[in-house]
Amino acid sequence: MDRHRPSLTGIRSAAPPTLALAFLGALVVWPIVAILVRSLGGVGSPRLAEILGRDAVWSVAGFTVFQAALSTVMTLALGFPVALGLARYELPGRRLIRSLVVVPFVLPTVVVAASFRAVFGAFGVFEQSLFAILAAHVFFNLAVVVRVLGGAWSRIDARQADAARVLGASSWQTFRRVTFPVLRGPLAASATIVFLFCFTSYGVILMLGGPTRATLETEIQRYAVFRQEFDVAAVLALLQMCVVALLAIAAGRWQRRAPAAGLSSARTLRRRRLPIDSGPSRVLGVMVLVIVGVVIVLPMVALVERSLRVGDGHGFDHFVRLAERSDVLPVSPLRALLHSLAFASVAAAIAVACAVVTARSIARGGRLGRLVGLVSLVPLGVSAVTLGFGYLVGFARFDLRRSLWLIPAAHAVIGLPFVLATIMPAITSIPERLRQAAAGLGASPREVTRRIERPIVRRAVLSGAGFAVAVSVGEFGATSFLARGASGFTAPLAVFRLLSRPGDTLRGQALALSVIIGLIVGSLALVLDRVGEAE
Amino acid sequence: MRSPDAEWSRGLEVSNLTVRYGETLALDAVDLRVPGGWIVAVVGPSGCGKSSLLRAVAGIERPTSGSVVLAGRALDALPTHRRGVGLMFQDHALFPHLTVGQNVRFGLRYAGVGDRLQENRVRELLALVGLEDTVDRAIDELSGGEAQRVALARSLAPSPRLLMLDEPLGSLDRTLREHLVSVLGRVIRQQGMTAVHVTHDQAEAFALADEVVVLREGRVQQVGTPEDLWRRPASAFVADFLGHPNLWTRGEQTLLVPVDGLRPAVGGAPGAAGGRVRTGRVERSIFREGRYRIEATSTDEHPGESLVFDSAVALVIGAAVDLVVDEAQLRTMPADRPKDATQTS
Repeated sequence: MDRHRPSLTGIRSAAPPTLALAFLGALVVWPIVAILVRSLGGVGSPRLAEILGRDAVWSVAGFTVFQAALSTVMTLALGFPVALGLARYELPGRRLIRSLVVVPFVLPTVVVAASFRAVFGAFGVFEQSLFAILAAHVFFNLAVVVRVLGGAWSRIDARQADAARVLGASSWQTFRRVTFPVLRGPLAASATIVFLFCFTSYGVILMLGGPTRATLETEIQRYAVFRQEFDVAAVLALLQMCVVALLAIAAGRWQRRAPAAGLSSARTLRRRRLPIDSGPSRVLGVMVLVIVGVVIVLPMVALVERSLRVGDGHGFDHFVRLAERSDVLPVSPLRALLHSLAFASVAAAIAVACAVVTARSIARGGRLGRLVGLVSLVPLGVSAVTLGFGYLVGFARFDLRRSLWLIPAAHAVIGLPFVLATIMPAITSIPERLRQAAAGLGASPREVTRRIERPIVRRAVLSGAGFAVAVSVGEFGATSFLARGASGFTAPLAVFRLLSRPGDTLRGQALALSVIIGLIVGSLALVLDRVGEAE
Repeated sequence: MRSPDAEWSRGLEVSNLTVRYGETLALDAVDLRVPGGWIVAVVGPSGCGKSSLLRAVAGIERPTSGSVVLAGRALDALPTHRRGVGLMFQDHALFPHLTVGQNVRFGLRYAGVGDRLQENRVRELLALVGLEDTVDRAIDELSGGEAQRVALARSLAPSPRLLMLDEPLGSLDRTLREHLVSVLGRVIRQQGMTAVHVTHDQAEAFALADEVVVLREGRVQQVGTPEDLWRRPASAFVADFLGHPNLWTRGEQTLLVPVDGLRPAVGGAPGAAGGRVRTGRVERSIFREGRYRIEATSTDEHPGESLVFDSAVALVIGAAVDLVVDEAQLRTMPADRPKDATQTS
């Protein structure tokens, strides 16, 4: 037990989490404080009241909530059958479908936006519309519903339903009175997560919404970067953070009220999946295939097809031309991609180090570690754009904003929640007994780390690093504030810039670059998913 | 097998060991001696301090005061990995990323066993526990009993000066447990190992140990061979813990009558024999091992006391019985049973 250890090791083990806390303090807490000061600094002053009194602000806020709510409803409606089908039925090609559903979640927003531009462009309608926004949000978030809801569904203790049937309930009554109440918690949880992601969505809105469909996110960016009206941007960011905080509190309530009662973690209790043999189950199977086919496969196929289209035929011209510089971009698309990969490796190193330090501290019952863990979750809610704006405001004085290091550091912070979620269970699940057994066999603490902890955690650390790379390579919101000059120019910025200019060549290049980013991130996601499932 | 020398035969000497967690006193000045080559069981209900004792001897816990001497060497200043104390846990704590063979081999390098000899030692120990074919098996392919045997082989491999078993068989079913107790006993004795066996199960302790130590609230209640303890428990607490059902409180004293010291009176006047007589009502009648164990409740001048005895025939539930107490087996001891103690039977 840690609390009985001599104090010397106590001091030594406190140093790494303190360092992590300092890092997060500078890159998470400080920018938020800077925004709060900027917006609330004038509480009671006419400026805040004047900004909050503008109709434009409220119509933007209204549209933000509206599109997020609509996206959530659509995602749940389409995700429910897919989650049910994957969790409970032996669908043909189940693993493939599952992987297909999971991949979009990690795809960069610019790649997704490019895909939907390609789909709707191919049909010549809706290329920039509310419908395009909704479709992209469903594409992204189907994975959330399938994982959270489907995960719970497949872990429901089969004996409860059996007991209900024995007591005389029909299958519909069993669902309504036994299964559904258990699913209500996961359903609320996935709805909250989806709403949150759609509420803070940035790249999708910017690229698919067009100039007339503005949300808080896009307006923060517009006021901050183009109009240089920091006061307005700060108030918008404040509004956004308030909504996110309320959601987080509500989600916390739900989680406490509906604990995982009825869900078993034991593998032995998992039900066998049902065969597709009845009329209703066939209908469900077809629904899953259609939803996944239209919402997920079609955009990806369209992206690839469009990236290969040259004039009236097909070829790799756009890919080949990625190495060429054009006057639209400060560097060639290929160069931007290399920048992205370099930033990603630095970001992954930082994020993994932070996560390991935090998880080890939490595993030992350290209060400091828990604080770091809590702060590291903040970027999940506070959007990348808000963070980016926070750097703009908070670091303006220090000239840190020009530093190239700020980009991978920000990427690390944004990826940290995912990295921590991957690494934490592996580290905290090492029983103290294992360490004691090893010590009893003569292994010194150093040897215990080397021969027990490190090998057990290695896979989780690799997955964590993979997540960090995926997040960093696709990061768009914060980067669009931070990238100054040619050396900070990343691949997602290049896709955005190329797509926002007219011209088939530029468009082709944007799609080709999207395909490459998508391949990198998507294959990472597939590998990670396999690793996750194996464990 | 270790050659018995003077140091080795001193075994484990624990003196005045006290462990305190904040306000709670987990161990209160405990003395314990385990001569070299002996197996001593430490028993007691949960929270009696037996785990604290084990952790303090292993160096996982830092005692508030007291000393631990093993084979003539003071361990107090040494960290766990330098103590030469092997540990075997209830949940076996096998390393999940290593194979069976790698688990058993784990401690050999710290024991200074050369690479070439390691292989042989691993085979030797796995053969000893009857698992020679599992060297390359993954840990999650083992059954509960197999995992426990691998854990035993692993903790014995570096030839520790002392082996400590923490509820080693707690999680297994009864048949398996009985089988493994005999494996444990055979292997530990064959290796000439000094061992401390911590358990809450007195049957397991009796089956394995040369000597049993009963702990309660951090203090030693009694030390003795299994037979000593069973025949002459020092207190009502010990008698109760060991599973004696017939404990009758008379003021400051408790009377103990073993199950076979209580017989149904057959014909004639029960008082004729001159013995003490109890009257009760039969509550349960359980057939086991060729006889009926009858559980009755007294209805005489000390009503509500437990009367448990064996009978060749089943008795009707609710029937009244007269029982003769074998005065030769009757024992008197201080009534120090805690009020909330429930009878173990």
